[in-house]
Amino acid sequence: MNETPSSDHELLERIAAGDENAFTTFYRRYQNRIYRFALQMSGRTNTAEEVTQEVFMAIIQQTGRWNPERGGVPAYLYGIARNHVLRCLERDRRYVAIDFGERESESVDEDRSRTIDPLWDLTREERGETVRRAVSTLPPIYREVIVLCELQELSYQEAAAAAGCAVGTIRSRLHRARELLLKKLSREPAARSVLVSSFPGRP
Amino acid sequence: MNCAEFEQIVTDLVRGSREESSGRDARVHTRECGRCRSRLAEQQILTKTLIEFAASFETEAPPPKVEEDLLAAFRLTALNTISRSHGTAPPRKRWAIQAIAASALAAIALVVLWIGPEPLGNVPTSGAAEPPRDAAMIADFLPLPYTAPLDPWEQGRVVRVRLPSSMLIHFGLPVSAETSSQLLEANVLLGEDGMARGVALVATNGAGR
Repeated sequence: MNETPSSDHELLERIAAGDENAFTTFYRRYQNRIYRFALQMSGRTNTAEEVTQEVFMAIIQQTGRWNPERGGVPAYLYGIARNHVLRCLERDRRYVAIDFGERESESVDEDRSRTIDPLWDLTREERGETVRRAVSTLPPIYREVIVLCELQELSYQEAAAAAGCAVGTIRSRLHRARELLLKKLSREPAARSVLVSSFPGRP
Repeated sequence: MNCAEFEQIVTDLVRGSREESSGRDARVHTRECGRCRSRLAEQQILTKTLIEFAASFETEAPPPKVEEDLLAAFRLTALNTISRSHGTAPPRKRWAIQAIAASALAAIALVVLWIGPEPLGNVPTSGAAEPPRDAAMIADFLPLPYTAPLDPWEQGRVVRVRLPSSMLIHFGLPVSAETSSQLLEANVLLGEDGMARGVALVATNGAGR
């Protein structure tokens, strides 16, 4: 006999009542998404583990705080994860030099000669590493929107609920984030070397 | 549609989040405008690149230890919630108490198991052990923190153990870094349930090995 999977809302109610099975089901439903979000944001497995733990500890201790009017449960979880990740990034920035130099004022749309086509001449691993490097050096607010909307495939509405901002803000940030990413990818040495070998006459 | 309008919707277009009518207008525009056609192609390559990048995380998952730790925390929280409804200590404080008591008891148990006890006989029901004759007691039995004293009718048992002096910290005694690895001899008072209740340091010829 097939059992209907419990809804998130139902699981949260059972968790609040101390039902361990409900917690296990809920955790297994969302653990990977939250872990990958934190990993994509931070690039570090220990931070991803820490954030995953913090998110579900928040569920254990504050199940009553989820408000359905402010978005679904996934957005609520991503929202908690986001706050922890940003805190970790801020903490780690004191010790590790990361390229946070890109500022909103930086021009991103003037260079029309750029191309990221050569990326597809790289091996899958090389391409993955190139994209990882480019994503990890985006400023956090742009990295966040790339991770939420493109890598985690959230809708604008869900991403807005997770980030605690308006849908229009997410939409404009995503547009800008993609531009920054294109710019970084077109500058990548790996992409450039392929570009130069493909078009030897180009500077 | 002109180039400026196209630029406004190009991200939505590649994400497939545009209404069909504006998508149709954009397609017509890209047939006429080479610049916007390149722009769309570039965005599509970026989307393809990001999809592949996202797929590379499909095997990433938190280690099982995270779930184990969370379940342990869940059980403690559920336990505390029940206890709180009966008016006992606040959860954070009790967590700390339980952790300290558990670590002290576990430490004693480990020492007894590793080093090997030398039973010295039963002690009277008062819970005060007779000091071994070959040793000069340098301290009375110190009660272990957060453990219940022996009941008046309970038969205690004393075992002699050797323990690293770093263990003293569990009994609230000072430990210096220089001597933390030295072995001390101690009598441990066990209850009938086998749980340690108190510890007394002894000075013997072998002390300080």
